[in-house]
Amino acid sequence: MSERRYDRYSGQWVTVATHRQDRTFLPSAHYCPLCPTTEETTVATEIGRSDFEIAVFDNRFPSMWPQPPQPKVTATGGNRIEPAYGRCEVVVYSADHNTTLAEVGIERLRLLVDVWADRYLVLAAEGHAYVMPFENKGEVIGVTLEHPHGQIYAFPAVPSRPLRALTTAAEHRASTGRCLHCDVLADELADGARLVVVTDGFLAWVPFAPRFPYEVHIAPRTHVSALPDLDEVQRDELAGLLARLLPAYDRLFGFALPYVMAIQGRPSGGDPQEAGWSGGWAEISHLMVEFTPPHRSENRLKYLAGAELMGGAFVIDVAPEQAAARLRAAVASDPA
Amino acid sequence: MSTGPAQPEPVSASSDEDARADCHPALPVTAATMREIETMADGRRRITYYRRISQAERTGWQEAAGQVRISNE
Repeated sequence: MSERRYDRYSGQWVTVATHRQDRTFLPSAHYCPLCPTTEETTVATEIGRSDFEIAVFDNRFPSMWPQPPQPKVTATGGNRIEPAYGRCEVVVYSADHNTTLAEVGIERLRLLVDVWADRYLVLAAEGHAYVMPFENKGEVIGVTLEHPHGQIYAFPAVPSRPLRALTTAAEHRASTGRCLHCDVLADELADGARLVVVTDGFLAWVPFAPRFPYEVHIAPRTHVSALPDLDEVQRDELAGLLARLLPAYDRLFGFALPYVMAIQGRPSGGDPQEAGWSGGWAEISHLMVEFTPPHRSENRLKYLAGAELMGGAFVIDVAPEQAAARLRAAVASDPA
Repeated sequence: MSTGPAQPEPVSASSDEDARADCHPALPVTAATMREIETMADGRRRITYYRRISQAERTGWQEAAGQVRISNE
Protein backbone atom coordinates (compact mmCIF):
# COMPACT_ATOMS: atom_id res chain seq x y z
CA MET A 1 0.00 0.00 0.00
CA SER A 2 1.39 3.40 -0.97
CA GLU A 3 -0.99 6.35 -1.11
CA ARG A 4 -1.62 9.87 0.14
CA ARG A 5 -4.56 10.50 2.45
CA TYR A 6 -5.89 13.91 3.42
CA ASP A 7 -6.37 14.72 7.11
CA ARG A 8 -9.44 16.96 7.18
CA TYR A 9 -8.65 18.20 10.68
CA SER A 10 -5.18 19.57 10.01
CA GLY A 11 -5.42 20.10 6.28
CA GLN A 12 -2.27 18.02 5.86
CA TRP A 13 -1.56 15.08 3.60
CA VAL A 14 -0.33 11.84 5.17
CA THR A 15 1.51 9.22 3.11
CA VAL A 16 0.69 5.60 3.92
CA ALA A 17 3.59 3.43 2.66
CA THR A 18 3.30 0.03 4.28
CA HIS A 19 6.12 -1.57 2.25
CA ARG A 20 8.61 0.62 4.14
CA GLN A 21 7.99 -1.46 7.26
CA ASP A 22 10.29 -4.08 5.73
CA ARG A 23 13.15 -1.79 4.68
CA THR A 24 16.75 -2.55 5.56
CA PHE A 25 17.35 -1.77 9.23
CA LEU A 26 20.82 -0.99 10.61
CA PRO A 27 22.78 -3.68 8.77
CA SER A 28 26.40 -4.33 9.74
CA ALA A 29 29.08 -2.58 7.71
CA HIS A 30 29.72 -5.84 5.86
CA TYR A 31 26.17 -5.80 4.48
CA CYS A 32 25.82 -2.06 3.99
CA PRO A 33 23.86 -1.36 0.78
CA LEU A 34 25.45 2.09 0.40
CA CYS A 35 29.08 0.91 0.31
CA PRO A 36 30.89 0.43 -3.02
CA THR A 37 30.57 -2.94 -4.73
CA THR A 38 34.04 -4.48 -4.49
CA GLU A 39 35.67 -7.89 -4.78
CA GLU A 40 35.24 -8.22 -1.04
CA THR A 41 31.53 -7.42 -1.19
CA THR A 42 29.48 -10.58 -0.86
CA VAL A 43 26.32 -9.06 -2.36
CA ALA A 44 25.83 -6.29 -4.92
CA THR A 45 25.22 -3.00 -3.19
CA GLU A 46 23.14 -0.08 -4.45
CA ILE A 47 26.38 1.41 -5.85
CA GLY A 48 27.49 -0.83 -8.69
CA ARG A 49 31.08 0.36 -8.76
CA SER A 50 34.22 0.04 -6.69
CA ASP A 51 34.56 3.72 -5.81
CA PHE A 52 32.65 6.97 -6.13
CA GLU A 53 32.47 10.52 -4.81
CA ILE A 54 28.73 11.23 -4.50
CA ALA A 55 26.04 8.85 -5.72
CA VAL A 56 22.33 9.57 -6.04
CA PHE A 57 19.76 6.86 -6.68
CA ASP A 58 16.07 6.17 -6.37
CA ASN A 59 15.20 4.89 -2.91
CA ARG A 60 14.43 1.16 -2.98
CA PHE A 61 11.69 1.76 -0.41
CA PRO A 62 10.18 5.07 -1.49
CA SER A 63 7.18 6.72 0.08
CA MET A 64 6.47 8.45 -3.25
CA TRP A 65 6.85 7.12 -6.79
CA PRO A 66 7.16 8.57 -10.32
CA GLN A 67 4.52 6.02 -11.39
CA PRO A 68 2.66 5.34 -8.16
CA PRO A 69 0.23 2.46 -7.66
CA GLN A 70 -3.44 3.26 -7.39
CA PRO A 71 -4.75 3.57 -3.82
CA LYS A 72 -5.86 0.28 -2.29
CA VAL A 73 -8.71 1.94 -0.43
CA THR A 74 -11.69 3.86 -1.75
CA ALA A 75 -12.18 7.19 -0.01
CA THR A 76 -15.70 7.30 1.40
CA GLY A 77 -17.72 10.25 2.64
CA GLY A 78 -15.67 13.44 2.63
CA ASN A 79 -12.33 11.63 2.64
CA ARG A 80 -9.75 12.27 -0.08
CA ILE A 81 -7.09 9.87 -1.29
CA GLU A 82 -4.47 10.13 -4.05
CA PRO A 83 -1.71 8.03 -5.56
CA ALA A 84 1.62 8.83 -3.84
CA TYR A 85 3.17 10.64 -6.78
CA GLY A 86 6.68 12.02 -6.31
CA ARG A 87 10.25 10.79 -6.12
CA CYS A 88 12.52 9.79 -3.25
CA GLU A 89 16.26 9.86 -3.86
CA VAL A 90 19.16 8.76 -1.67
CA VAL A 91 22.33 10.89 -1.73
CA VAL A 92 25.43 8.98 -0.61
CA TYR A 93 28.11 11.44 0.51
CA SER A 94 31.13 9.15 0.42
CA ALA A 95 32.32 5.63 -0.34
CA ASP A 96 33.74 5.55 3.20
CA HIS A 97 31.27 3.81 5.51
CA ASN A 98 32.81 5.30 8.64
CA THR A 99 32.85 9.01 7.87
CA THR A 100 30.24 11.73 8.34
CA LEU A 101 29.32 14.89 6.50
CA ALA A 102 31.35 16.76 9.12
CA GLU A 103 34.44 14.82 8.09
CA VAL A 104 34.21 14.57 4.29
CA GLY A 105 36.06 17.85 3.74
CA ILE A 106 35.34 21.05 1.92
CA GLU A 107 35.85 19.65 -1.58
CA ARG A 108 33.17 17.03 -1.10
CA LEU A 109 30.85 19.58 0.51
CA ARG A 110 31.35 21.83 -2.50
CA LEU A 111 30.44 19.00 -4.83
CA LEU A 112 27.41 18.26 -2.67
CA VAL A 113 26.15 21.83 -3.10
CA ASP A 114 26.33 21.31 -6.88
CA VAL A 115 24.57 17.95 -6.53
CA TRP A 116 21.73 19.46 -4.49
CA ALA A 117 21.32 22.24 -7.05
CA ASP A 118 21.40 19.85 -9.98
CA ARG A 119 18.88 17.48 -8.43
CA TYR A 120 16.56 20.46 -7.83
CA LEU A 121 16.73 21.30 -11.55
CA VAL A 122 16.18 17.73 -12.71
CA LEU A 123 13.32 17.05 -10.29
CA ALA A 124 11.70 20.41 -11.02
CA ALA A 125 11.81 19.61 -14.74
CA GLU A 126 9.98 16.35 -13.98
CA GLY A 127 7.10 18.41 -12.60
CA HIS A 128 7.46 17.95 -8.85
CA ALA A 129 6.20 20.87 -6.81
CA TYR A 130 8.68 20.95 -3.93
CA VAL A 131 12.22 19.57 -3.82
CA MET A 132 13.61 19.17 -0.32
CA PRO A 133 17.11 17.77 0.34
CA PHE A 134 17.47 16.58 3.91
CA GLU A 135 19.59 14.42 6.17
CA ASN A 136 18.63 12.38 9.21
CA LYS A 137 21.83 11.79 11.17
CA GLY A 138 22.18 9.47 14.14
CA GLU A 139 20.32 6.52 15.60
CA VAL A 140 18.37 8.77 17.97
CA ILE A 141 16.90 10.43 14.88
CA GLY A 142 15.84 7.06 13.51
CA VAL A 143 18.28 6.42 10.69
CA THR A 144 18.15 2.88 9.36
CA LEU A 145 21.52 2.97 7.55
CA GLU A 146 24.70 4.21 9.21
CA HIS A 147 26.59 4.92 5.98
CA PRO A 148 26.80 8.74 5.55
CA HIS A 149 23.91 9.78 3.35
CA GLY A 150 21.09 12.20 2.91
CA GLN A 151 17.86 12.10 0.95
CA ILE A 152 15.87 14.24 -1.44
CA TYR A 153 12.08 14.15 -1.47
CA ALA A 154 10.33 15.61 -4.50
CA PHE A 155 6.76 16.28 -3.35
CA PRO A 156 3.66 16.57 -5.56
CA ALA A 157 2.59 19.69 -3.62
CA VAL A 158 4.28 22.11 -1.24
CA PRO A 159 4.26 20.35 2.17
CA SER A 160 2.41 21.99 5.04
CA ARG A 161 5.35 23.42 7.01
CA PRO A 162 7.09 25.23 4.14
CA LEU A 163 3.66 26.30 2.85
CA ARG A 164 2.89 27.90 6.21
CA ALA A 165 6.26 29.69 6.11
CA LEU A 166 5.56 30.88 2.57
CA THR A 167 2.14 32.14 3.64
CA THR A 168 3.74 34.14 6.47
CA ALA A 169 6.35 35.49 4.06
CA ALA A 170 3.58 36.48 1.64
CA GLU A 171 1.77 38.42 4.37
CA HIS A 172 5.02 40.20 5.25
CA ARG A 173 5.77 41.01 1.61
CA ALA A 174 2.23 42.31 1.12
CA SER A 175 2.39 44.60 4.16
CA THR A 176 6.01 45.84 3.86
CA GLY A 177 7.06 45.20 0.29
CA ARG A 178 10.11 43.33 1.59
CA CYS A 179 11.30 39.74 1.92
CA LEU A 180 10.66 38.41 5.42
CA HIS A 181 13.91 36.42 5.44
CA CYS A 182 15.96 39.41 4.29
CA ASP A 183 14.48 41.39 7.19
CA VAL A 184 15.24 38.58 9.67
CA LEU A 185 18.83 38.40 8.41
CA ALA A 186 19.24 42.16 8.84
CA ASP A 187 17.81 41.98 12.37
CA GLU A 188 20.09 39.11 13.39
CA LEU A 189 23.14 40.81 11.96
CA ALA A 190 22.30 44.04 13.77
CA ASP A 191 21.63 42.27 17.07
CA GLY A 192 24.53 39.86 16.87
CA ALA A 193 23.67 37.84 19.99
CA ARG A 194 22.56 34.76 18.11
CA LEU A 195 25.09 34.75 15.28
CA VAL A 196 27.25 31.65 14.92
CA VAL A 197 29.19 32.22 11.68
CA VAL A 198 29.24 35.32 9.47
CA THR A 199 30.80 35.34 6.01
CA ASP A 200 30.58 37.88 3.21
CA GLY A 201 27.63 36.09 1.66
CA PHE A 202 26.00 33.98 4.41
CA LEU A 203 24.85 34.02 8.00
CA ALA A 204 24.53 31.05 10.34
CA TRP A 205 22.54 31.83 13.45
CA VAL A 206 20.38 30.37 16.19
CA PRO A 207 16.82 31.56 15.50
CA PHE A 208 15.21 34.05 17.88
CA ALA A 209 12.49 31.49 18.66
CA PRO A 210 13.92 28.06 17.79
CA ARG A 211 12.18 24.71 18.16
CA PHE A 212 15.32 22.92 19.34
CA PRO A 213 18.03 24.31 21.69
CA TYR A 214 20.94 24.15 19.25
CA GLU A 215 18.95 24.77 16.08
CA VAL A 216 20.90 26.70 13.44
CA HIS A 217 19.70 28.37 10.26
CA ILE A 218 21.99 29.22 7.35
CA ALA A 219 20.90 31.64 4.62
CA PRO A 220 22.46 33.81 1.92
CA ARG A 221 22.58 37.50 2.85
CA THR A 222 21.26 38.53 -0.55
CA HIS A 223 17.86 37.45 -1.81
CA VAL A 224 18.48 34.02 -3.33
CA SER A 225 15.34 31.92 -3.44
CA ALA A 226 16.63 28.46 -4.40
CA LEU A 227 19.83 26.40 -4.57
CA PRO A 228 20.37 26.58 -8.35
CA ASP A 229 20.39 30.38 -8.17
CA LEU A 230 23.56 30.42 -6.03
CA ASP A 231 26.54 31.60 -8.09
CA GLU A 232 29.93 29.91 -7.91
CA VAL A 233 31.26 32.16 -5.16
CA GLN A 234 28.12 31.64 -3.05
CA ARG A 235 28.40 27.87 -3.51
CA ASP A 236 32.03 28.03 -2.37
CA GLU A 237 30.97 30.03 0.67
CA LEU A 238 28.12 27.69 1.58
CA ALA A 239 30.47 24.69 1.40
CA GLY A 240 33.01 26.57 3.50
CA LEU A 241 30.41 27.50 6.08
CA LEU A 242 29.22 23.89 6.36
CA ALA A 243 32.88 22.84 6.74
CA ARG A 244 33.09 25.10 9.79
CA LEU A 245 29.67 24.48 11.36
CA LEU A 246 29.46 20.68 11.12
CA PRO A 247 32.76 19.90 12.93
CA ALA A 248 31.78 22.56 15.50
CA TYR A 249 28.53 20.69 16.14
CA ASP A 250 30.62 17.56 16.82
CA ARG A 251 32.89 19.48 19.20
CA LEU A 252 29.92 20.92 21.10
CA PHE A 253 29.42 17.82 23.27
CA GLY A 254 32.40 15.75 22.13
CA PHE A 255 30.58 13.31 19.84
CA ALA A 256 29.10 13.23 16.35
CA LEU A 257 25.99 15.30 16.99
CA PRO A 258 22.78 13.81 15.56
CA TYR A 259 20.50 16.20 13.71
CA VAL A 260 17.81 16.62 11.11
CA MET A 261 18.95 18.91 8.32
CA ALA A 262 16.72 20.25 5.55
CA ILE A 263 17.10 22.75 2.74
CA GLN A 264 14.07 24.95 2.19
CA GLY A 265 13.46 27.42 -0.60
CA ARG A 266 11.45 28.25 -3.69
CA PRO A 267 8.83 25.68 -4.66
CA SER A 268 9.49 24.12 -8.05
CA GLY A 269 5.81 23.98 -8.95
CA GLY A 270 2.35 24.64 -7.63
CA ASP A 271 0.51 27.95 -7.45
CA PRO A 272 1.70 30.80 -5.17
CA GLN A 273 -2.00 31.49 -4.55
CA GLU A 274 -1.83 28.50 -2.19
CA ALA A 275 0.23 30.79 0.04
CA GLY A 276 -2.07 33.73 -0.60
CA TRP A 277 0.40 35.38 -2.99
CA SER A 278 -0.45 36.73 -6.41
CA GLY A 279 3.15 37.10 -7.59
CA GLY A 280 5.85 34.51 -8.17
CA TRP A 281 7.29 32.05 -5.67
CA ALA A 282 10.72 33.72 -5.83
CA GLU A 283 9.35 36.90 -4.23
CA ILE A 284 8.37 35.12 -1.03
CA SER A 285 11.03 32.37 -0.95
CA HIS A 286 14.52 32.64 0.50
CA LEU A 287 16.96 29.74 0.49
CA MET A 288 17.64 28.40 3.97
CA VAL A 289 19.44 25.39 5.45
CA GLU A 290 17.97 24.27 8.77
CA PHE A 291 19.74 22.10 11.34
CA THR A 292 17.75 20.74 14.28
CA PRO A 293 19.87 18.64 16.66
CA PRO A 294 17.72 16.90 19.28
CA HIS A 295 20.27 17.17 22.12
CA ARG A 296 19.66 19.77 24.83
CA SER A 297 22.81 18.71 26.72
CA GLU A 298 25.56 16.11 26.42
CA ASN A 299 23.32 13.33 27.71
CA ARG A 300 19.79 14.73 27.42
CA LEU A 301 17.50 14.78 24.42
CA LYS A 302 14.70 17.16 23.59
CA TYR A 303 11.64 14.99 22.94
CA LEU A 304 8.52 16.08 21.16
CA ALA A 305 5.85 15.40 23.74
CA GLY A 306 2.49 16.80 24.84
CA ALA A 307 3.08 20.51 24.25
CA GLU A 308 4.88 20.03 20.94
CA LEU A 309 3.03 17.07 19.39
CA MET A 310 -0.45 17.86 20.62
CA GLY A 311 -0.29 21.61 21.04
CA GLY A 312 2.18 22.53 18.36
CA ALA A 313 3.83 24.67 21.05
CA PHE A 314 7.56 24.12 21.41
CA VAL A 315 9.24 24.51 24.80
CA ILE A 316 13.07 24.59 24.90
CA ASP A 317 15.49 24.46 27.79
CA VAL A 318 18.42 26.57 26.57
CA ALA A 319 18.38 30.29 25.88
CA PRO A 320 19.07 30.83 22.16
CA GLU A 321 21.69 33.48 22.99
CA GLN A 322 23.55 31.00 25.24
CA ALA A 323 23.30 28.28 22.58
CA ALA A 324 24.75 30.66 20.01
CA ALA A 325 27.63 31.61 22.33
CA ARG A 326 28.47 27.94 22.87
CA LEU A 327 28.33 27.25 19.17
CA ARG A 328 30.54 30.26 18.43
CA ALA A 329 33.06 28.91 20.93
CA ALA A 330 32.89 25.49 19.27
CA VAL A 331 33.51 27.06 15.87
CA ALA A 332 36.45 29.04 17.29
CA SER A 333 37.98 25.94 18.85
CA ASP A 334 38.80 24.45 15.44
CA PRO A 335 42.21 22.83 16.00
CA ALA A 336 43.32 23.46 12.41
CA MET B 1 23.88 -4.33 -11.49
CA SER B 2 23.54 -1.52 -13.99
CA THR B 3 21.91 -2.12 -17.33
CA GLY B 4 22.19 1.26 -18.96
CA PRO B 5 25.01 3.32 -20.36
CA ALA B 6 27.49 4.90 -17.96
CA GLN B 7 29.06 7.54 -20.13
CA PRO B 8 30.55 10.56 -18.33
CA GLU B 9 28.84 13.73 -19.35
CA PRO B 10 29.27 17.32 -18.25
CA VAL B 11 26.25 18.63 -16.41
CA SER B 12 26.12 21.61 -18.72
CA ALA B 13 25.85 19.40 -21.80
CA SER B 14 23.32 16.82 -20.63
CA SER B 15 20.16 15.99 -22.46
CA ASP B 16 18.27 16.90 -19.29
CA GLU B 17 19.40 20.47 -19.63
CA ASP B 18 17.11 21.04 -22.56
CA ALA B 19 14.14 19.89 -20.55
CA ARG B 20 15.27 22.02 -17.63
CA ALA B 21 15.84 25.03 -19.78
CA ASP B 22 12.15 25.05 -20.66
CA CYS B 23 11.30 25.52 -17.00
CA HIS B 24 14.21 27.59 -15.72
CA PRO B 25 16.00 29.18 -18.66
CA ALA B 26 18.11 31.51 -16.53
CA LEU B 27 19.35 29.02 -13.99
CA PRO B 28 23.10 28.30 -13.89
CA VAL B 29 24.71 24.89 -14.26
CA THR B 30 28.25 23.98 -13.24
CA ALA B 31 30.42 22.80 -16.08
CA ALA B 32 33.09 21.53 -13.66
CA THR B 33 30.72 18.93 -12.25
CA MET B 34 30.48 15.63 -14.12
CA ARG B 35 27.85 12.98 -13.78
CA GLU B 36 27.00 9.54 -15.05
CA ILE B 37 23.43 8.35 -15.35
CA GLU B 38 22.63 4.66 -15.13
CA THR B 39 19.57 2.49 -14.94
CA MET B 40 19.78 -0.14 -12.25
CA ALA B 41 18.68 -3.73 -12.86
CA ASP B 42 15.29 -3.11 -11.29
CA GLY B 43 14.68 0.04 -13.35
CA ARG B 44 15.67 2.60 -10.75
CA ARG B 45 17.80 5.61 -11.69
CA ARG B 46 21.31 6.12 -10.37
CA ILE B 47 23.49 9.18 -10.94
CA THR B 48 27.13 9.40 -9.90
CA TYR B 49 28.64 12.85 -9.51
CA TYR B 50 32.28 13.85 -9.80
CA ARG B 51 34.04 17.17 -9.49
CA ARG B 52 37.27 17.98 -11.26
CA ILE B 53 39.24 20.35 -9.11
CA SER B 54 42.10 22.59 -10.10
CA GLN B 55 44.60 23.76 -7.54
CA ALA B 56 43.73 27.36 -8.32
CA GLU B 57 40.08 26.72 -7.65
CA ARG B 58 40.87 24.89 -4.44
CA THR B 59 42.84 27.91 -3.25
CA GLY B 60 39.87 30.07 -4.16
CA TRP B 61 37.60 27.97 -2.00
CA GLN B 62 39.87 28.34 0.96
CA GLU B 63 39.84 32.08 0.55
CA ALA B 64 36.08 32.18 0.11
CA ALA B 65 35.60 29.96 3.14
CA GLY B 66 37.78 32.11 5.36
CA GLN B 67 40.80 29.79 5.49
CA VAL B 68 38.72 26.77 6.28
CA ARG B 69 40.62 23.59 6.97
CA ILE B 70 40.48 20.88 4.31
CA SER B 71 39.87 18.05 6.71
CA ASN B 72 40.45 15.14 4.37
CA GLU B 73 44.00 16.11 3.51
